[in-house]
Parts: sequence; structure tokens; C-alpha cells
Amino acid sequence: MRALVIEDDVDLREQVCNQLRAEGFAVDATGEGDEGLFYAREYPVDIAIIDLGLPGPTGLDIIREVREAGLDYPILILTARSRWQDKVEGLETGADDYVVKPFQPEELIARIQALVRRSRGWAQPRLESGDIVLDTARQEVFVGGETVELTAYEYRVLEHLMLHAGEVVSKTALTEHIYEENAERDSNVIEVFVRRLRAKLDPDGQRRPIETLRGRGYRLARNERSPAPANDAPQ
Amino acid sequence: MNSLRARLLAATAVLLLAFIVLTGVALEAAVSERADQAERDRLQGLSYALLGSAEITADGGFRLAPRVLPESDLSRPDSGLYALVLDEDNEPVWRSPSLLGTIDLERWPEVGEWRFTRVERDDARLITLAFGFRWVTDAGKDYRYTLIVAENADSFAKQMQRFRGMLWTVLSVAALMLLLVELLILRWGLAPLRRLARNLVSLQSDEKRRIEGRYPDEIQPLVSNLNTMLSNDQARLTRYRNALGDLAHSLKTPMAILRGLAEDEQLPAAHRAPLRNQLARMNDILDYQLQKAAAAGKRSLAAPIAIAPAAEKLARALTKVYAEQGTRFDVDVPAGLRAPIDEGDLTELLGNLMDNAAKYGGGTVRVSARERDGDLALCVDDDGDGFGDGETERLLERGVRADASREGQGLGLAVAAEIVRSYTGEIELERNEDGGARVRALIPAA
Repeated sequence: MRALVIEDDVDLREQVCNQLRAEGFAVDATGEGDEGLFYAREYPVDIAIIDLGLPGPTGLDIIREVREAGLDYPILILTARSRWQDKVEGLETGADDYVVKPFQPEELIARIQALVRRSRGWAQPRLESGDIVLDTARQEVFVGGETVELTAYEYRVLEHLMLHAGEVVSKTALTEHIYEENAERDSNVIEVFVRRLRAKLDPDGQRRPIETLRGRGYRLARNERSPAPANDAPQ
Repeated sequence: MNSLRARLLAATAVLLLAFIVLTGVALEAAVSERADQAERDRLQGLSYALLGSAEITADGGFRLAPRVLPESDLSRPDSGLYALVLDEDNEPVWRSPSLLGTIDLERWPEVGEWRFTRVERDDARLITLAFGFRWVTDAGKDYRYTLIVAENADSFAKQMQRFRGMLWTVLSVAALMLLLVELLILRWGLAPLRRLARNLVSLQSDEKRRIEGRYPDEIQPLVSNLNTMLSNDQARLTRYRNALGDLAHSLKTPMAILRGLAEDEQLPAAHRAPLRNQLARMNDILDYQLQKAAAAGKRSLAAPIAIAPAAEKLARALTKVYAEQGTRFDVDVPAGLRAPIDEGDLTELLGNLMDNAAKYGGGTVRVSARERDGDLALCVDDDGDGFGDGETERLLERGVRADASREGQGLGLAVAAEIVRSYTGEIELERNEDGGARVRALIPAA
């Protein structure tokens, strides 16, 4: 999951970034409105966390530009202003939720995860595909009720595939969404992650949960129960 | 007598009445005196003419034997013009043919004295001029006579009556016309004030907070100042709210950092909990005071705000926020409903109430607004378990409870109550028909 954090206070930004990374997000961050606007338009963002009280282009300006550019990823606003007028203005401009400062870190994370999930059409915090269950809230993966231990990157890959269950996800897309912008990338590593995931999720090679579509990418089977992707996407 | 026009009109009417009455009385007196004088002159002229044709008979009798009497009326019986000569003992010695009977005077004139009086006779009122004189004949005989010339006062009175009638008619018509003109003048003169009053009223049913148009020099400064005040009023409120927002921003960002630090696993748990609690308390106090301070409250000449758009905006925003829970927000507000409440205050009031209802209700929030006798009645209902008994007092209590651990129902309702109070309104917590909570706010129109 790529998260974009635009917050001008360095300490708070660091704190939020660290919390997000701890939850398995790839995080890009900036304190500048202009830079934030560029990131917001150019990066493959899965969720943006934007402070409303930015200098330069304000948070509202960024949200407006993002929505005008036709980007529909979820946006969560951070605001110090508890007045409803400010919150309503942000939500009307195109944000999907707000968190008022000072916030409980768990609440921020919970809101972010819920937004990402819902943007992909998942109503529940538990993502399911076949007998694989991924609990986004607790970052736990079960196969047939048994816990499976995954590394951070393996988790990110599985989470992305599960959020996009039923869709073909290219290696490039996977790379983009699990790495931060300035991270060393190697798309071959994706193959390694997928191989390891397959080994952990399907040790005896019976069910083959992750399909490989040659030259196009990977696909995780979508359960009949799980909703069609993106039917609940904001905006 | 509470209108300028009524006052001016009343004052003018009294003044006009006094003027007309005095004028009438003075004119009447002058004309009446002038008429008396003319009558006296006429009677005197007649007396001279009679005396001129008088002679004393040889036996000393007074004889008036003109071939023709100076007035033909004197010879026609009971014509209304009479002459009479009396001797020393007031015995008639000659009477004009017109006179039947005699004329009595209360006091007889001295010799050489002209006496002009009015006399009541059984059948008529007479105006009389009596003249006492002494006639000395060539033979040295001395006679004392009194000549009375009289005219019936009826025709004179009739003339005066006619004159009086005409005088008062003309004066009354003039007075009425003056009053009418005065009415028109007042209408025209006070028209700008009426226009100003109309504009002030429309100011309250209009979005634009400005009095338009050009006014006379006397009230233009007032209008200009009012306009300046109106625009400053709004600008100041915006500035003030921005300043409060900046204050919130500059305090809450550091608080957010502290809140994050309070989660640090390296801190002993015994320190983390109090840190969190104190931060929550600071935050509640800050929120409550800032929201309270930002409330505009009742303002004069405020343009009424449409209720429905604000409620619908909030419903849309909150639907997003509560998407996870799937909370439904129903807005039941008549499209044209407006109330003189600041838009920011309305949004805060409804926002706090709707958020509360969503947080503690069962998944459906209903906002309704009605006009009741000009006042605005707002209701926010939820389908939860309603307020607990005895809880309502505590929830509406002013200020934040010191031990409030998180932003909650207490704060939201306290802020809402504070806003309603700033409009001298009332807020009530009740249980609705379905057992859910209902908060009812009544905002008076004026």
C-alpha cells in the first residue's frame, strides 16, 4: 500500500510515517504543498493523508486538484480545526474522512485502513480469498484457520493482491505499490516474493491461490462472497 | 403617537386650528365693528337729514314736515326703518309713518349726546341712534327734544350671519386644503425614511448585507455607517474565526505529537495513561472554549440563512465519515425555510448534534426543521437507546467535565447548548416515539 503523507510539521510527519510503515505501508511524505501536489498527482497513491493547514497550496487546494485530475484514491484529512465548517468543506471538496488533531494513533491507522479497504470494495476488515484470510486490522494471515507468518514485503504483496482480488495485477503495479518512491527497486524481487508466498500459503501446491498470467501479472481468485472491486470507490 | 408623520401632522393640525380660529375671530370682530360703525353713520346721516327738515310750529310744537322723507322706508308702515321725536317728558311729538307704537330707551341721551344702542322690542330687535337736542326759537322759546332713529336689526344680523357663514366656510376649506397639502409634503419628505425602513426589513430576508440606494444628506451618513458596520461585522467575525483556527492549529499539532509519543512502548505504562488523559482533557477544554468563542450568536440585521442546504451538506459529509458503519442521514427540512442564524453557528450546531446522533444512535439520524410562530425549531433524532434518566442535565452542563476522557457526547452537546443559548434559544433532550434520543433546539426569530 502506498500512502502519501502531506503534513508540514516535521515531528508529526515522522510520527505518522513511522506508524504507517509499522502497519506495512510504503510511505512517501512531504511538508511542502507544491511538492505534495506533485506527488499526489504523479505517484501511484493508494491513500493520501493531508493536513488542511499547509502553507502554500493548502490541503483543500491539493484535494481539489487531485479530484479534478480524475484521481479517485481515498483521502483522509488531518485538521486541527474542530469546526464543522472546516471539516465539511474538506469533505465536500473531495476528502473521504477526517481525523482531528490530536488523534489516537490507532484510530488514525484504523481509519486509513478502512478507507483503503472500502475503496477496493471490501466492507469488512477481513479480506478473504478461498481459504486465505487476511486481517488488515491485526496484520495477520490465516490459511484454513492456521496462522501464517509473513515478512513485511510478503504481507504487502499479499495485501495488494487480495485488495485487488479477481483483477490482474502487473509486476510493475505491485512494485509501485509496495515500494516508496526513493527505495531501491527490482521487479525481479517481486517474483521472489510471490514464490515465497506460494510456498507459505500453499505448501503442498494443491490449490494454487496465486495465478500467473504470462506477460501480464498475477491474479488472486475472488470469492463469490467478496464484492466486485471498486464498486464502493469514493468519488 | 409613535410615528414621525403622526407627530408632525398632529402638531401642524393644532397650529393650523389655532391660527384659523384666531384669524376668524379677529376678522369677525373687525368686520362687525366696521358694520356697526357704518350703521351708526347711516343712522346719523338720516338724523341730520330729518333735523334739517324740521321746524317748530308757532305754538312751539315740533313739526317734521318735509315734503318727502329722506328715506321712503320711513313712510311705509312697519318697514323696519323708524324715526321718533320725543319731548322733554319723553312724550312722542312726532313719529314717522312707519313706526307703530313707541321706542323705549333705558337711558336717554343728554343734550348734544349721540347714543347708539340696541333695543329689544316685543317683536323685533332694533338698532337705535338717539340724539338729545335743544331747540331755541326766534321767539326765545327753548325746547328740549330727543330724536330716535332706529332700524330693525334683523337684516343687519342676517347680513352678519351670512358674512360669518362665508368666513368660516372659507377658513375651514382653507384649513382642510392646508392639512391635505401638509399630508402630501410629509409623505414626500419622509419618503426616504420609509424607503430606509423597507430596505432594513428586506435586509433581513436577503442575502446581500447592504443597504442600497442614495439617501438625502441628513440620513446618508447613517446609511453609510450602517453599511460599513454591516460589512465590518462579517469581516471581523471571519477574521476572528480564522485567528481562533490558527490558534487551534498551532496548539493541536504539538499536542498531536505528544499524543503520538504517549504511545511509545519505552515509556512506562504508568506514565502513558496519565499523559493520554491529560492531553485529552486539554483537548476537550480547548475544543469547547474555541467553539464557544467562535459562535457568532444573535446579531442584529443578520440575513436569514437557508436551513436545508447547510443540513444537506452536513448529511453528505457525515455519510462519508460514517460510511464504515453505514449510518443513514435523513434531512427533512422545507426547501424555503430560513432563519436569522449565522451559517457557521448553524453548521456547528447541526454538526455536533448529527455527529452525536450518529455516534450513539442505531444507524439512522433524522434532521428536521420547522418554523413555529416565526421561530426555528430544529430536531435531531436517532434510533438508539435514548438518553439515560438524569443524564440530560449533566450533558447540557456548561463547560467541560474535568474527567471527560475523550471527545464525546458531553462536549458536543455542551457546545450545541452554548450556541443555542447565544441565540437566547432553548435546547431540550427528550426521548422520541421510537425510544431514541431527540435533541430539540428552538431558535427565536428575534
